[in-house]
Amino acid sequence: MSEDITDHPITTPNGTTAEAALPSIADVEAVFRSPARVPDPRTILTVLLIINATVLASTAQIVAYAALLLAVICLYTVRPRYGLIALAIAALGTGLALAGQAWPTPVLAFLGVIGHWTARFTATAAFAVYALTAIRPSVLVASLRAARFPRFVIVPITVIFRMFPTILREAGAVRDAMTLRGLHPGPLPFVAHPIRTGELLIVPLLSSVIRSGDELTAAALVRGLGRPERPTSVFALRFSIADVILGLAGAGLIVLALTTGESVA
Amino acid sequence: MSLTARDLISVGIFTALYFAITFIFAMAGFLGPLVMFAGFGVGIILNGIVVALFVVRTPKLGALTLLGGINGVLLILSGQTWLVVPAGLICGFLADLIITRGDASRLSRRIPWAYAVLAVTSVVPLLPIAFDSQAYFETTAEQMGQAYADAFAALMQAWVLPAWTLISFVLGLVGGHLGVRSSRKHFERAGLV
Repeated sequence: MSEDITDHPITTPNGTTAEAALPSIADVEAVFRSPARVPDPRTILTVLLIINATVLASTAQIVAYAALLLAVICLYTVRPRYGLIALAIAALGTGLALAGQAWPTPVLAFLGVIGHWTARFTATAAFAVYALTAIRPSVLVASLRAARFPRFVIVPITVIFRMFPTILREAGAVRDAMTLRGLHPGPLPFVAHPIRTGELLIVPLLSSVIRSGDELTAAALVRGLGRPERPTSVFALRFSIADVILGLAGAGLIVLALTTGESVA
Repeated sequence: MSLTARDLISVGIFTALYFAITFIFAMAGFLGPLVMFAGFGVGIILNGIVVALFVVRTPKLGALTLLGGINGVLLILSGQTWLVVPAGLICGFLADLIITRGDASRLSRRIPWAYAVLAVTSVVPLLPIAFDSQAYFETTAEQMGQAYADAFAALMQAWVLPAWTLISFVLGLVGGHLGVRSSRKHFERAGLV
């Protein structure tokens, strides 16, 4: 999120004189690609949509298990601990759902429903976490441009990923300022007066985020964000073996969802 | 009056804020279903402030459509159903029509209604739960008896979705009024409008 491709010296125009100073493709790859083989953002986002559409729409239990397996494996390749946590949550949910079916008392049946859809949402959420950790914002923007998304999609998405850290920082600052004035924005006043406490937090947060947003706007316009021309990128966007594997897994999930059980949405 | 690059950056900033507030209050859902609805409700009301300020700064056709659609994309990234994107686009577009059609001097009267339409999208993430629970009850009906499963299923979905649609609309109206009020009280004085 912090790295900005336009700051890097190797964005020299492709003149022949600069050729000697340019690092080789391998060097660029080493700097801009993470060590783990990560598929192209376009593949990841397509599979994310497939998992979303199949798991939340198909009634077959086998589809949910398959998607869960895929999501946990993918997550494990980038963040092993997150992968195990997702697996544990899904196992707990599935266990509750099975218990609800085995001993149909009212309490267990109710917990079973909750467990059942906890397991399903874990599949989509785990893959979403994988997408968020594996895709780097700059690569995402470059690939959206390569996929010729319109300007009114690319510009807001570019800004959003730059804004989240700002929002977190400013929210922390507002909290500190409230504590200094003895307002203690803890959980207790929030439960007692949720709207008033929220307003006290959000109004200053909005003011400061919008002020820094205005500065961001000026900086981004100077850098040419939103220009009709397509900027070049230092990221080599190529499909690799990882894309083939993930793509085949996604296609397999579609086939599985179509062959087992009727889908409702 | 089309969206300029400046407006698109503004869309990004306000969508980030809108999503952050939605997400933080939806996190309360981990504490249980009832707390989840309370969290949704507080999030809807407080987001009225964000939307009111956004509309006052960018009263153009397409601004709320983009906010709704991109917020949907971010919701997919947090594990929600893909249906939130078309829902966000449609409700955002309707809200845009409410904002841009009519007398510009009476904009603040229309903001609560526009936001109420946008707030109704919060019912969409519940749809798979309703469908999914139905499938679950079909499989449990054999073991638990049809009558019991029917009663439970009816309680779970027959009234929850329409009721939440209505509640989110009303909360949207309240949030919109709160937003217009704080916009006058805080942001106009600070010169942010």
